[in-house]
This record gives sequence, C-alpha cells and structure tokens, in this order.
Amino acid sequence: MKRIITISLSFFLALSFISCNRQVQRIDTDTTTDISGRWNDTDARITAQELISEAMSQPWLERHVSDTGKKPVVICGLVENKSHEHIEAETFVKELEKAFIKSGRVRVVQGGNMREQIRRERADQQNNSSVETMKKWGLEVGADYMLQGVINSIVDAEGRNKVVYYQIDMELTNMETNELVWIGDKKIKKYIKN
Amino acid sequence: MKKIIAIILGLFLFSFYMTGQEETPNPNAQKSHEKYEKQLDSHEQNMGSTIQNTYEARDPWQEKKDARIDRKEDRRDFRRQLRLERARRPILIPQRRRFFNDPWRQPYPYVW
Repeated sequence: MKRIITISLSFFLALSFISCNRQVQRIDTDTTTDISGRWNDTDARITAQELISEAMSQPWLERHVSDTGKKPVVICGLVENKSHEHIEAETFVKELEKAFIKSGRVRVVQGGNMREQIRRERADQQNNSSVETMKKWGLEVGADYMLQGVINSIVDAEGRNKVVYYQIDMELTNMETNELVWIGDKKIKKYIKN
Repeated sequence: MKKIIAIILGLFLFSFYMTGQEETPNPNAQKSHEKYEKQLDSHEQNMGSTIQNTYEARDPWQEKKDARIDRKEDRRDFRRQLRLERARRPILIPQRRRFFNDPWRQPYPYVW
C-alpha cells in the first residue's frame, strides 16, 4: 500500500514539474541582454550613461553660472523618433533629468501632462484648501533651456545578415536667445545574424 | 568741484555702457507672441513626450519569414471557417469520408 502511495505521489510530483515549462529568472538590470536584436533596455541604459556624462562635462553649465550667477533651469521638450522601431525616449530622458537633479548643479522643471495635473491641483486648492496652505499662482520657475531630441536609424539587410545603426541626438537650446548650447549624441551599431 | 563732475561723467558713461549691453527687443515681437499664444494647448500635449514618426525598414529575409507565418495562419483560419460552415450547413458542404468500410459510422450527410 505504501509503495502505491509513494509511486502515485512521485508520479504527480513529476507531472507538476513537467507542466511548469516557463522559467522566470530575475537578473540584474545592468546585465546586457540581446534577444531579438531590436532596441532594448541595454541600449536605453548606455544611451542615458553617455548623454549624462556628456551633458555634465560640457562648458554650457559653467558658462551659465558665470553669466547669471544662478543654476540653469531645464525643461524637457519633444523627442522625435524617426527610426524604424518604436522607441520610447522617456527611458533615457528621465535618467538624464535624474542626473541633473542628483548633481545639484542643474534645476529641472516639470512639463507636459504632469504640469497640467499640477496646475489643476493648484486650481483645486484655491477652492478647497485652507488659505494658509493653498499655493499661489504665477510663482512657477521659468526654464532657461529646453531639452529636445531626435532618434534616427539606418538598416542594411542582406539574406540572414543585418546591420542596424541608431543615432540619438539630444540638444539644449536657450529659451530666450534660441542658441544651441549643447548637443549630445549616442551612436549604436548592431550586427544581427539570423 | 572737478571731482563731482568726474563722478557724474563716470556714472553717465557707465549707464551708457550698461544700456549698450542690453539687446533691443524687436518692435514686432508682440505679433509673434500673439500667434504662439493661440497654440498653447497643442504645445502642452507634446511636451516631454516622444513623437513616433517611424518608417518600415526593408528586410527581405524577415519579410519572407513573416509571409510564411501569415500563409500558415491563413490556412488555419480557412480550415476553421470550413469546419464552422460544415457544422452550420451540413447538407450543402459535404463532409470528408473518414470511415470507408463502416456505413454506420459515416458523417451526416452520407457521401460516397
């Protein structure tokens, strides 16, 4: 009897292992993973690293501080993806904004839909918050520079071989004078063999 | 007296120098300001976002592979549709003969 129970139990155990084909493994976010050859998290990460090191080391920052005596204020504008793949620039633009804030040398202001939400909340405060705690209108910090960018790609394919080239260009423009003060770029080239 | 005149002259020259440093705004700037003020709503939507103006890259090998997958899916869909139609209208679309030797196990309607 015991033998039958042991055999049946082991059978069900084996069956349960067979049925779980999917394996999930947690890996470090800094690990380089290339599965399909398309744009992935590794590309976004190395783009962010390159742009941060370029933006923080260029003379625009020192020049602004020496001219005005204040820290520059940056707002994130539009990024146009003109490549052949869907690429969300927010993945590396946010990293750049984070680096600006963490360095303490550049101030960043909110833009887009999030700013709209903040303004709506401020409008709501005018009716519902106490007079002491409600926030005033017209005290937002105006940006000195706008961050904009373009993503381009070139694909060359023959048979099972393919070369994909990405170029990410980010620019900082002075809001008042329209002067380009910084251009950072990251180029990525991949050779894919199917 | 000379000292006072020198100070006044110095201040005058300094103020002249300072005004020379400032840029003169364009007198037509108001027109441009009015034009862009009308577009504020659309501007808000694009801020901090990515516009996807992607293009389709030519990769013959990938296209061939995709076409093969598409054909396979089409065939599967067709077979599925045929099965459904047979179930719905058994008389009009004859069944395939599967049991050749057993007349009792023929699908309805009997087709020989």
